[in-house]
Amino acid sequence: MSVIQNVPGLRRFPVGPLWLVLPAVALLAVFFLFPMGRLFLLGVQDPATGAFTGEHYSRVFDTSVYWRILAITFRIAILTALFSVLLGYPLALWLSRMDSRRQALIALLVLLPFWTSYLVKTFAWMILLGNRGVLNTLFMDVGLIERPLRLMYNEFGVIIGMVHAMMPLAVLTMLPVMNGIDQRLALAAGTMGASRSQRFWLVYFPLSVPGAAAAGLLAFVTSLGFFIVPAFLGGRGQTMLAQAIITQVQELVNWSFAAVLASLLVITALASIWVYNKLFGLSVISGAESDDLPKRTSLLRTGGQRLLRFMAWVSAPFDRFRSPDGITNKKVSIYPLLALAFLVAPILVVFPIAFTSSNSLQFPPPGYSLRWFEQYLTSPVWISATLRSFGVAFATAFFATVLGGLAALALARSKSLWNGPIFALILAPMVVPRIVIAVGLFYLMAQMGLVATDAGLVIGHTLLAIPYCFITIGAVLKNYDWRLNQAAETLGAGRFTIMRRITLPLLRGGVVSAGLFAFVTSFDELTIAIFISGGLKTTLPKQMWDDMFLQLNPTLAAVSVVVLAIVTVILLVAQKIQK
Amino acid sequence: MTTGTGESEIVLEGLSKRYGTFTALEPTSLSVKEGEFLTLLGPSGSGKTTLLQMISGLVDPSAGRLTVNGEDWTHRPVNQRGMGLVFQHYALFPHMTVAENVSFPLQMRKLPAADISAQVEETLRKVQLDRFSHRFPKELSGGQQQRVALARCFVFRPKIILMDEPLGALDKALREHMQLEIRRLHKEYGTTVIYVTHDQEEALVMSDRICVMNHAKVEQLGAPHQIYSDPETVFSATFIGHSNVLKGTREAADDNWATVRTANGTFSGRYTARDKATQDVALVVRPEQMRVGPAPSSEFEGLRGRLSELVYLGSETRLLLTLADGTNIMLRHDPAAGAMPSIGEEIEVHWLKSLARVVA
Ligand SMILES: Nc1ncnc2c1ncn2[C@@H]1O[C@H](COP(=O)(O)OP(=O)(O)O)[C@@H](O)[C@H]1O
Ligand SMILES: [Mg+2]
Repeated sequence: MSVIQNVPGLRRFPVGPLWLVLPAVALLAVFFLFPMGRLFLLGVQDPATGAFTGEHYSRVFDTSVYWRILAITFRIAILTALFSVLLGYPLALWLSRMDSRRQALIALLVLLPFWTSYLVKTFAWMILLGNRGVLNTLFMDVGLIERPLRLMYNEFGVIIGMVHAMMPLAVLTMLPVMNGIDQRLALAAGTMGASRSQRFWLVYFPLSVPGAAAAGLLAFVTSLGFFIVPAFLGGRGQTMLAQAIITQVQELVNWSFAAVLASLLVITALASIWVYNKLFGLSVISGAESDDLPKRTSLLRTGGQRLLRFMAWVSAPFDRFRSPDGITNKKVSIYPLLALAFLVAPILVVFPIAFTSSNSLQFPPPGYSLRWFEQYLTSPVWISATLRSFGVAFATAFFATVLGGLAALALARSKSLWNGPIFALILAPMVVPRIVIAVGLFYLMAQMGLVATDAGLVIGHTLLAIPYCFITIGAVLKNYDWRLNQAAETLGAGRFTIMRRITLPLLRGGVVSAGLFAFVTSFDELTIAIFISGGLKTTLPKQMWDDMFLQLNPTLAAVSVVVLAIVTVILLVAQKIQK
Repeated sequence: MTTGTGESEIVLEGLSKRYGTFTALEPTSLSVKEGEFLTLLGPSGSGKTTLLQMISGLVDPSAGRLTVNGEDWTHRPVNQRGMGLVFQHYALFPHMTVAENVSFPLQMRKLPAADISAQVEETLRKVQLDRFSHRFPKELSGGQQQRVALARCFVFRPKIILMDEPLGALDKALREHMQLEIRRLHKEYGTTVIYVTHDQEEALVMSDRICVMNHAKVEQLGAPHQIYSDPETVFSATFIGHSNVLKGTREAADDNWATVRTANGTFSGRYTARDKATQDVALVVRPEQMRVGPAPSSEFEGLRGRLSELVYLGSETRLLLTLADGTNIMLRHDPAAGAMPSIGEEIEVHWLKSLARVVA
């Protein structure tokens, strides 16, 4: 194999191709790093004099309410991560053993809930879990229970909603790792006399651990900053940190406290990532190639191996229930189908409600009508929110794709020492809790007069979408054959012709799906919209959020159906193009 | 074989490449004549690709000068050199059909559409791919892809074509077929070709001249028969064809002859080493020049050894002899010379002194 010996076009830029990341880095520096820093400072400064003080921190820690909130946030985040990984692992395993065509098709059932907005999902759970919700009605009708069970406004409701929200992320994080595991290794172990359990626990499972750990980390970090699910499905005892931050900013206008809470959130998130990196390395999450050996202390290693041998021993008696070859399981698997149903079915409940003729969320609907769609389409508030969401999402898709794509192009070709820090900066908006980004942005944009402007929203959403675009386009670039550029150059093409005729057409799939993902990210985005979109002119998710607080009504179901339809179409288009 | 007819077209003066402290190519000087087929031959990592890419402009030389037709081209941009370059794995544009791939260089030269399609058609016919013009590269076999790569290169009639192990990915039969095809196109278009390979047979078949490279240096430059019969270094002697090597020190020498003292005796031969300063020399004798039996006259020299192995190759049988100091010698068994000796037997071999070479 010939290695790329040199980079055409590079020689003429003495600084290398790294200058292409400048737009993305500049945007992130001004609207992400800077407000983060400001927010942190607010937490350690006296609001009047600006002098440094530890007063806010000590006041937070002196109040038992905040300790409680902190503990609850941790508890919920850990439980969510745990269940998401445990329930998602077998599903991911099942998917990873399919051939790639089937896998792509069935993975759509995971991608759809992944991209469905948290608001729609939460709304669906409210329909399901309510006192007179679908489940209680069903249980009472069959005579299972006499009085309605309390399924929400408690920890159960929060956890089920959170796990439903995070499981797709967990599955989609584990799947590539499992796809990368050479299936022949287990076969080889079999030829050496390993039983089915031994093959799984001693060979397959250890190889899949980095993926499972990454899934747990992402689910945990995302859950830390969550507020939608606990706000609607939890009771007062399930108030999470992000909700407390919103209250501090919007109701109490106590920036110092909000800053302290936000800093705690960020510190926790970064600390978990640090621990993960110490144990596993970040390559699974970032998608970067890594030749590093697993970093593990020998104690952890031997302990882990002992545990795995124990697991193999414990599960050995169940081997005979499985197919004898132990690799392919020809029997229909019940669990993955149940898991897929858990992910998809709750969302579908919005459909009958959207077409109900009743004024309530009654299930099953007493009759069907289109009145709620009519209501939606004739409501100036809903329509203007929809149009605004579309406009902002289009602009976000454009800017995020261009900035993220250029950054991916630059980092793919650069060998600079700056690559690492730039890489971290570009991915940072994905791991810093959104609520913190939103609060920091609100503080900055209030001073710049960007609150309640479309520009403010587009900037905020672009920040969030850049990491997705960067990763999507970076993945395509990884398989890009750079010798094609050399070939085109020797055939007489200049740099821009090469870009136009060779590079862009070959990256088209990645670029278009990056744009679509950015579009969906913005279209579904609530957190930043809560702070930046302003009171009167809102976006679709913000309007849903407000309505869900005021009064649950079937219009919300009709809107959910519209949102679902749009997201589904976009996903299908992206899937088609990526092939 | 066509030999270069014109003036020196490409001239390298002290061209070298360093990556940090690592030298990928020592200062190299050579010239290539118009219409010549020059092959860079050497093991992997010897600097062939580096040298070729500096000529193409894809790699910037660290030092030295490159002139083409008397003009300094050392730092000329790649896309203004008009050289054709054929890559090892073809580097066909996967999103373009065969015809579109082959049109690409003509479009870059802004030819009228009618001329483009005429020339593309003609070139595809020459490589017998006219029926495949609407296929995508993925839909072609390796050999067909290779021919598209050749067509894409020849279509714009570059005066110089550089090829970097273009046949490396093909199987043996297809490789031999494509070797002839490349020779044919080379003759037909009168193109100057610089060709990289690590396969010595391929180099012998195709080249007007071969440039043997090793450890980032040119070992020897000459016509195939010249390199085969008069190697200058042990590396040249062993990399191209097989040679029996007896290392030793130089005893006496004039311009043409030298005597070497080795652990197995003192021998003499034609003194072909380029580096005449060094005392560390070696006597090399090709297997086919050795015969079994005692030296019949003073025109010959010989030595004794124990027959350690017989290698049957179909068309011939080779004898492997182990000398007193453990050195191995290989020679052909000549059926006319009598019965096959048996393993373990002590035998004598000899060769014509004038066929032996003393190299550095
Ligand atoms: N971009 C580069 N950076 C560092 N070393 C290189 C680079 N390109 C080539 N080399 C080194 O230069 C030497 C010669 O390489 P090359 O010209 O590709 O050899 P060949 O084509 O004969 O196999 C090799 O040792 C290779 O590793
Ligand atoms: Mg090479």
